[in-house]
Amino acid sequence: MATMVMAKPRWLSDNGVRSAWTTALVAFLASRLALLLVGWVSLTFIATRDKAVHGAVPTLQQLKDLAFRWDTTWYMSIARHGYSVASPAVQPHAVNLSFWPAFPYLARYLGEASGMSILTSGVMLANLAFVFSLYLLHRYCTRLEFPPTAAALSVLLLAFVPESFLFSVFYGDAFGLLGMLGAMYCARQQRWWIAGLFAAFASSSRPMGVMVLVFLLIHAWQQLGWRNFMRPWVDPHPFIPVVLAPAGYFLMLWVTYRVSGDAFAQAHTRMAGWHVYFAPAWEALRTDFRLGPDLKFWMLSALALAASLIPLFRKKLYPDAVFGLCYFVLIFSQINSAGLLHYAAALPVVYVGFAWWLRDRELARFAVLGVFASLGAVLFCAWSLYVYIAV
Amino acid sequence: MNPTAKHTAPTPRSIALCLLLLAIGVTYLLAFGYFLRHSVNFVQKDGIDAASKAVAGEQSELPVHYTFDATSPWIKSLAYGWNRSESWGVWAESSSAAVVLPPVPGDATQPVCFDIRIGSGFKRHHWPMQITIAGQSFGSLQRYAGEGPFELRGTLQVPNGQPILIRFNGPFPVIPRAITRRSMDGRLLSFSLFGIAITRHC
Repeated sequence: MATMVMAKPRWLSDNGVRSAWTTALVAFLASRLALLLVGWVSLTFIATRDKAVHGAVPTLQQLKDLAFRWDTTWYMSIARHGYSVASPAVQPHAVNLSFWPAFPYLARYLGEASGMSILTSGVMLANLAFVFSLYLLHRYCTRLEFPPTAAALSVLLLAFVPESFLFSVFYGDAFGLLGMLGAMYCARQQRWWIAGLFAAFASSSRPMGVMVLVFLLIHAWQQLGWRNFMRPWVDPHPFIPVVLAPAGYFLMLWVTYRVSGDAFAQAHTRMAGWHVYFAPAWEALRTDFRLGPDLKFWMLSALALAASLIPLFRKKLYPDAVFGLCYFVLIFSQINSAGLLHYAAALPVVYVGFAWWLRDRELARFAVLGVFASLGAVLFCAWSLYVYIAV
Repeated sequence: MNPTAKHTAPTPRSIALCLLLLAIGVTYLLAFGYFLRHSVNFVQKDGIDAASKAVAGEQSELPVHYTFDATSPWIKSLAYGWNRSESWGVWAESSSAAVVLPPVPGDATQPVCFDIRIGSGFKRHHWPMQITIAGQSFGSLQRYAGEGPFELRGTLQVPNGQPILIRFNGPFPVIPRAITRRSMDGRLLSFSLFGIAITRHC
C-alpha cells in the first residue's frame, strides 16, 4: 500500500534549526518576563519613595510605557515627523539626525499599514528582530562547530546581557544586531547576496552597523586566499556583501545632506549636542576613567565585554576577532560617552567569544550569567524609574 | 585559510559581477567626495546665521571694545563653539569657535587694527591658535605656552557694511576634572576669549 509522505518544513525536520528556535524562544521569553517583573517591582515598590514617578501599582499602560524612555523620543520624532534640524531648548544642537533611519521608518510604515500605534509596531518589530537575532546566533555558533551547550550559552548570554532590554524597547539596537548577525551567518554559509542585504540593513540601522564590513572583508580574504583576493574578477562573490555593507551608511549621509546641507551632521550633532568627542582610544579611555564614577563604570563594563575577544583570537576566528577589535577601538575612542556598555552589548562576537571560553567551565558559566542577569536587573530598574544611569 | 574559489580563470559572468561591484564602490567614492566638498557644518552655519542676524542692526564707532562676559551685550556675537559666558569672558568648548561682530564703519579701503585677547587657563605647552577674520588669515599659525592672556594684534582690511566673522582654531579641548584633582569642572574647555578691540590704527 502506497503511503503518502508529506514533506515537513525545514524548521520542523532539521534538528539543528528546531533546537535553535527552541533555545531562542525560551531565552527570549525567560529574559523578557524577568525584565517585565523587574519593571513591575520597580514601579510598584521602589517608585513609591519618589512620588514624581508613579507611586502606585502600575497600570498596563505604565508597563507598556517601559518601552518608552530616554532616546526613544528621538526615534519617535523621526517616525512621526521625519528628520529635521530642530533641537530642544534644554539640549541645543542635539537633533534627531544622530539616529539611523531603518527602525523608526519601518515602525512608522508598519503602524500605518496595520493601524497599530507607532510605539506598538516599533516594539513589536524590535522584539521580532531580537528573537531572530537569538536564533541566528545559535545557528552561527553551530556553524562554527561549537558544542550544543556553547551555542545555547551564547543565546542565554545575549538574552541576559546588561542593557539587553534595549533590544526590546523603542530603540534601533535590535535591528543593528540582526543585520550584523545575519551578514556574518550568511557570509559563513556563502549566501553572498543575502549577507549583503543584511549588512546594508545593519548599516542603515545603527552608526556602528557599518563595522561589519571588517568581518566581511577578512572573511572574503579567508575564502579566496591572497592570490584571488587581489584578483576579484576571478571570483567576485565574496565581495558582494563587502560592497553592499556601506549602502545604509551612504543612505544616511544622503538623508542628512538633504535635510541639513551637512552630510556629516550625525558627527557634528554628537559633538555639539551630546558633547561626545573623538580622540585616540588610549587618550579617551584615560579621560573617561577620570571623569567620574558613572563613566568609569560604563568603561570598565565595556572593557569586561571586550575580554571576549581573547578566546576568539586563540581559536583563530580572525574575522570575528578583528571585527570586534576594530569595533571596540572605535567605541573606546569616544570621550564622554555614556553608551559604551550599550554599544558593546550590541556586538554579536562578544557572545561567540564568551560562549567558546565558557564551554567547559560550568561554574564560570553560571557566574557570568548571574552577573549579567543581576546587573541587567539593576539597570532595568534604573531605566524603569528614569534614573540617569540607564541611557 | 580555506580558499574555495573554484575558477582560476575569470568567466564573463564573474567579470560582469566584478564590474557591477566596482561601479557601486566608485559611486560611494564619488558620493563621499561630493559630500566632503559641499557639506557645511550645520551647527556652525546655524550659529553664524543667528549671530549675524543678532548684530545686523548694530552700529559701532571706532575705537570699539567687545567683551564676552556674562553681563556683556555682545554675548549675541558668540556664533558657535562656546560655553556659557563667565564673569571674565568665555571658554571655547571645542577647538573651533567663531564670533560675528557688527560691521566696521567708515572707509573699506582703510585697514583697521584688531586686538584679540585669548588665553588657555591651563599650563599647556605649545598650544596652537589660528585666527581668520572675514576669511583672511590673521597672522600665521601661532603656538603659545602657558595660561596667558595673550594679545594678538594686527591690521586687516575688512569689507565695509558687513558683519565680521572671526573664526578661531585652537587646541584640542580638555575636561579639567579629567586632568587635575583640583578641579571639578566637567566641561570641555579649549581656549578662552577675553575681548576684542578694533581701532583705526595699531
